[in-house]
Amino acid sequence: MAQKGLNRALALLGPLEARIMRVIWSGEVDERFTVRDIQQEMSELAYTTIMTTAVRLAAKGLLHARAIPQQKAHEYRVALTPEEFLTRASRQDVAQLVRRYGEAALIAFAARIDGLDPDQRTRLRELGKP
Amino acid sequence: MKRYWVVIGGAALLVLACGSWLATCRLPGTCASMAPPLRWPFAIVLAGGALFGAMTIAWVTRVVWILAQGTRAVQRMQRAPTPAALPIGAARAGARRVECVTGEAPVAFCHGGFRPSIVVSAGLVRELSPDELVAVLAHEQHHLRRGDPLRRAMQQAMAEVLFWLPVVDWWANRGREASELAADRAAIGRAGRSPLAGALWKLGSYPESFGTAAFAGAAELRVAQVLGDDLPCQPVPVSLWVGSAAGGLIALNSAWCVAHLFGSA
Repeated sequence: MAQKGLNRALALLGPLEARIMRVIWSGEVDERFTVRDIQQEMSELAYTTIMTTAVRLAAKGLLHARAIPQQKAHEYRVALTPEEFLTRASRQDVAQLVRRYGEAALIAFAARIDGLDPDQRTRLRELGKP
Repeated sequence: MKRYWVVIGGAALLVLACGSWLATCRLPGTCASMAPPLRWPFAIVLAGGALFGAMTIAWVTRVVWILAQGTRAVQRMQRAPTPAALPIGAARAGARRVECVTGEAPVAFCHGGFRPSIVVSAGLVRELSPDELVAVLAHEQHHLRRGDPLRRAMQQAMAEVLFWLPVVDWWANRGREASELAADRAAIGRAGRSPLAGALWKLGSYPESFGTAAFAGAAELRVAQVLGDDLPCQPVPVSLWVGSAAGGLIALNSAWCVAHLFGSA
């Protein structure tokens, strides 16, 4: 089940992001890690490539980044578990989904009442009161 | 997305018309005079068949694409533990195949081509009273029972493929409104007017309301129906007939040019 959640979460990311987050979420690096730590696990990737991707993952809220005093490098730690990331993505998705596909693919219980005249709005609110 | 298809389709038509004119016609719109009269019937049938075949393939492809997009997006959503109120509401509404997804926004929809299902967000169950939930589920169950997701995808795809006949788009919109009104009548029958009005009010006034511009008209009709007001009669506007006639003539002219190409080949 955890593996399924991990795979679903990784599927929401770009290919490179997913490779790096798999290493991180699988616990192949320590709780606090640097770009160098990840590179030791993924020697086929360049340092700058991992660094750029880590910055992007931090911008997406998946990683916390903290500058290491007196060094240029940053220290990272996980901000969201796969399940938390899935939940957050889904919260955003459900609204976006209906907005995007509500015209054709989904038959949504959607209504926009801001265009109604004031009298209709008042009567609707009164009728809807329990 | 729709505008995109209109632009692409319009450009393709223009290219087709211009290409056929440049290749075969001395004057625009007079291609017919260039084809040997004896070969017209064969050429017209061939061109008409090709046009019909291309439209049919485009229509079926678009229907499949619309349904697949929706299904793929729903599959990506995180399922939530079923709230206690949901099975109770579903049983009262006679709703089947109801799933709950995570999400704070109150959302309910029916999706799926051949085996449709109902999806509600956890936020919807929290936001609505038990009776309002029954009204929403009964509304969606009506869509599910009639297979409305498939019907709507077919109507939408037809309006997009036949973009040069604006009356088809008008007809698709009226079909959508009619299905919403019918689903609301089913909800009123199950739960009553007041819960449906409450659900419309809560979902319609939610900060992130999901109604699109096209739905705004349907919302007015739905509210009028739930309030017991008269529904306005909506005849096809004359401008749509004129636009469709012009679009039809352009399409026929293009087909005629293609027919001439075939005929003179």
